[in-house]
Parts: sequence; C-alpha cells; structure tokens
Amino acid sequence: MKDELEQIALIEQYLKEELYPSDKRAFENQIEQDPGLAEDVAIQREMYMAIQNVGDAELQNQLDAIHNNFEARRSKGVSRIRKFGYGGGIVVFLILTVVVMYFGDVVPKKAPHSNDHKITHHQLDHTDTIPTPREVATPISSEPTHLLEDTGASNSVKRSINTEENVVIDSHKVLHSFDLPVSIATPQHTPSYYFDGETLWLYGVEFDLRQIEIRKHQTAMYLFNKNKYYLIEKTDSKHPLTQAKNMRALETLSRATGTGPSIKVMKPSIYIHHDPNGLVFHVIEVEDILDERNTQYKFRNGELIITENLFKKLGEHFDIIHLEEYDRYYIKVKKNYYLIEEGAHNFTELTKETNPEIMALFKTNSTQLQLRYLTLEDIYNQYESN
Amino acid sequence: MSDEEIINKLRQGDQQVFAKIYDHFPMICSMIISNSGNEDDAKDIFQNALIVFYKKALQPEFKLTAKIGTYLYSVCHKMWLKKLTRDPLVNMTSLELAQEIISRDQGFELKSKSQIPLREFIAEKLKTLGEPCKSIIMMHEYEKRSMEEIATHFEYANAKTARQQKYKCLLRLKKLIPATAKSTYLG
Repeated sequence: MKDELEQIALIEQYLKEELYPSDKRAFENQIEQDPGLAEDVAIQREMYMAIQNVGDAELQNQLDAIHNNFEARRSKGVSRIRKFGYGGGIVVFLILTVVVMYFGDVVPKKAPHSNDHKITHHQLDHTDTIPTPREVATPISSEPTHLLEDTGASNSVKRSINTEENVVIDSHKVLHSFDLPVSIATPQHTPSYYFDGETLWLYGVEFDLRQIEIRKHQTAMYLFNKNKYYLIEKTDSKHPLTQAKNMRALETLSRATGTGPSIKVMKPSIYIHHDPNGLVFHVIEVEDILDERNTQYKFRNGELIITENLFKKLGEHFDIIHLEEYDRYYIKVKKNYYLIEEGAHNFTELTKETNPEIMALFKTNSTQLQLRYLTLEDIYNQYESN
Repeated sequence: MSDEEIINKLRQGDQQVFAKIYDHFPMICSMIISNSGNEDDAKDIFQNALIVFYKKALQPEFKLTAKIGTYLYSVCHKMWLKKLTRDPLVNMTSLELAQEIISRDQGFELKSKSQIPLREFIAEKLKTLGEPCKSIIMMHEYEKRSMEEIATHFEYANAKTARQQKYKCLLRLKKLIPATAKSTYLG
C-alpha cells in the first residue's frame, strides 16, 4: 500500500513535470525497462484526463443552468424593447435647463412704473462688483448654455440637450429628478453604456450626437454612431462598448437603415450634463420622463423640462425669471409671471403671480435666465473643441 | 464586478460567477450567427470557451492581459473558424477542440482516440468513487485548489495529510480499473 501510494505520487510528479531533470531521466529509464510501470503511467495519465472530463461535464451542467437562466432573462428584455420600439406615440419633449445668464444690476431704475416689463439683458462681464453666477443661483449652472434642438428629418423626435459647465451637479440627483432608476452615472470619456432592458444609458463624450441610432441584427442590438456599430447587451453594470467588426453582421446592419421591423428601438431624447470631469449623457426613453397624464412640464433641481406642446403654446416668447429673494422661478409670458413650482405638471396649474410686492421685486431683484437654443451641430462642435 | 474579482472568485471555487461572465454571450452569439452558425452552435462554442477560460484562469501564472469579453471573443472566434474549416470527416466536437487547446496549454498530449474509451471508463468510476474522495480529487485536480484549502475544507491536520489523502483516493480510483479494461483500451 505504501509503495503503491509512493508510486502514485511519483507518477503524478512525473506527469506534472515536477521532477528534477535527473530524477526525470532516471524515471524515464525505469519506464522503458518496465512495461508494467509504463502501463501504470499511461493509466494515471488517463485518470487525470478523466478527471478533467468529469469536471468539464459538471461545469457544463452548471453552465447549462446559467444559460437557461440567461436566456429567460434575455427574452424578457427583448420583448420589452420591442414594445417600446413599436409603441409609437412617444411624447416629444424638450428639456430646458434654466441657466443663469444674469444681469447684475439688471433692472433699470426707471423701469418700475413703465408698462414695459421687458427686462433688459446684459451679458455678464465678469467685473468685481458682480457676483458670480454660482453665487446668484445655486442650483443652476453658470454657463449660459441652454438649448433646444431639432434633430431634423432623420429623426422625428426632438432631442434637447442641456449642457452645463463649471458647476458640478450630482448626476444622481439629476437622474432622480426624472424619477428614473437611480443608478450609475460617473462622467467619463470612454464610451460605455448601461442597458437594463428598458433604458439605454450612454456614457462618454465620444458620441456624435447627430447620429445616434439603435439597430437590430438578429437577436443582437447595436448602437450606431460615428459610422461604427457597438453591440449593446443587457447588463447590470456599466459596460464598455464593444465595437462590432464582423463583416456580415455589419453588412446586414447597414442595410437595415430605416426600413423593416428593425431597429429604431428607442426614440431617444438626449440629456447632456457637462461637468469638469467630463460629460455624461443619457439616452432616455421619453415615456419614462414625462410619464403620466397631462404632464407638460417638470421642474426640479434646477431643471425645467417642458413638452413641445407647451413650448409652442408659450409662443416661444417667454422668459424664465429667477427671483433671488425668494429663490423662485417664474415663467414670464407677455406681462404675466407664473410661478414654476416643483411638483406641478400642467401649465394650467401654474399660479399667476398677483402679489404687488413681489411684482415690484421683479423689477429690482430678479434675474432672467438665458435660454439659448442651439442646434445639435452647435453642441457637437462645442464638444469636439473641448 | 471587475474582471479581477471574477477571476478571484473562480479561483476560490465559486463557479456561480459564470453567470456574470455569461453577459458576454450575446456578443459571441451574434458573431457565430453571422458566420453561418446558429444559437446552439453559439451556446456550444461559448460554453466551451468558458471552460477554456476557466482552466486558463486557474493556472497560477495566468495574467489577464485583455478583458474577459475580449478573451472569450477571440477564443470563440478561433474555435468557430477551426470548426468551420475542419475536415468534416474528422468532425471533432467543440469540447474536444477546447480540450485540445487546453491540453496544449497544460503540456499534456492529447492521446489518440483509441484511448478515449478508457478515459470514459475511468470517468464513470470517478463518479462513483464516493466522498470525500471525489471532491478531494476534483477540488485539487480540476478546481486547482491548494492542499491548504483542501485541508481546511475537510478538516485535515495539514496540507501534507490532505495530499496523502488525495493519493489514497487516486489509488482507490486506479484499483477500480480492472486489468481487462486496461488491456482492452491501452497499448
């Protein structure tokens, strides 16, 4: 028994090449002279192979279970996407970020009694007497970049983009303001994504905003951008984009343009948030944002989101006024000021300001927020130059 | 979970972590489907690539030089191309292909087909070997767990005892192989 065990150990060392060269040579000589030993070596070698086979088979069973699980989850995910893809009737909307473009001693003293309530705007010139934008309007960014944008014929859905510079806004907060699942959101430059089966979140500054499309090839979903295709898989953590390189797949994908039951899985609105660490933007299913009923606007954390309908109704001639003293925001339409309240959704719910004291303050202590409308081209160039 | 964490888990014997790695499957699937394969081929190839990856990852000298996804993609790609271009008469299964890749890596020579029945015979015996023998063998030889870990797991005094125990188990397995099986399949 002891000898047998020693032999097992010795053969193992030989097979695993753990013997010293001199011992190995000696052992090989032994093998040559002893057919019985040669057979033992051969059998033991087979034993290790058999062990691997059994291990493989057991692992395979486990992988099968994982596979079935995975497929079950995946098919669920796919059907959700399809639902969104063909759902139609997606609310078109615009995001306005209220950005301070503010006017130091904005209000002319002569204005108070004037019928003309129009506030004159001065572009901020950074003089000492003027507080920085950040000091004036805390929840909002300093750089006057607010924009609405039409993506043009290629996509009937408007994408609106808001950029903010120099002010760090916690991305989680921003997400939260849309009642979206709070997760992820680290600014980064490398393109990556998170896809939970319903919403595709894109990260990174690498994207060409003029060309973001989702295309499908068989069971796989691809993000089309800058003439490249990236595979999008369901993932529960942020995942770097993998570029699809397979020629046949690419060919099919390129033919899939705009036709067939493929691809326009999401009609996204793009929300861009710029901060010193980089740029985060999310492609969000619009329905997720303006969810219920008659929602026309949402205002939270310094973000104002307005539907296109409301935007039109307001006639595009409205201003957003920040009343410093009360830290309130108003929409000014013609000569009326409407309080923008957090939690309200409908324009009819906006309260017209009638208090004369407050009305007086508009002339002395308010800031007009600059709404700047940029084309995607503008925005893109801006990022390219960064 | 980072790639490093995944590998550490695998090395600790946690095979459930494969569920995480499975997120790479759609990528492989689309590659194989667009190369005249189907989903079953994809599953087959992918799972075998996982096994290849697993065995690689268990090697102490293994260093992850690429992302797991990239690694799997290239292994699957190679395996699939090989399968496509292989002489259909030979018709090796992809697991055999995987084993070929592994055995090359591990310095084991894959023996001629005539020996496979003996291996299967041994495999059957191994399954009936009983505990803790089978687990000791599998943990050390397949999962590449150290003798220290095995000693802890089975409450042996030390690694040396565990190693002796493993040799006893191998011997027991060897004795389950009757001489007839040897002479039929060997030589």
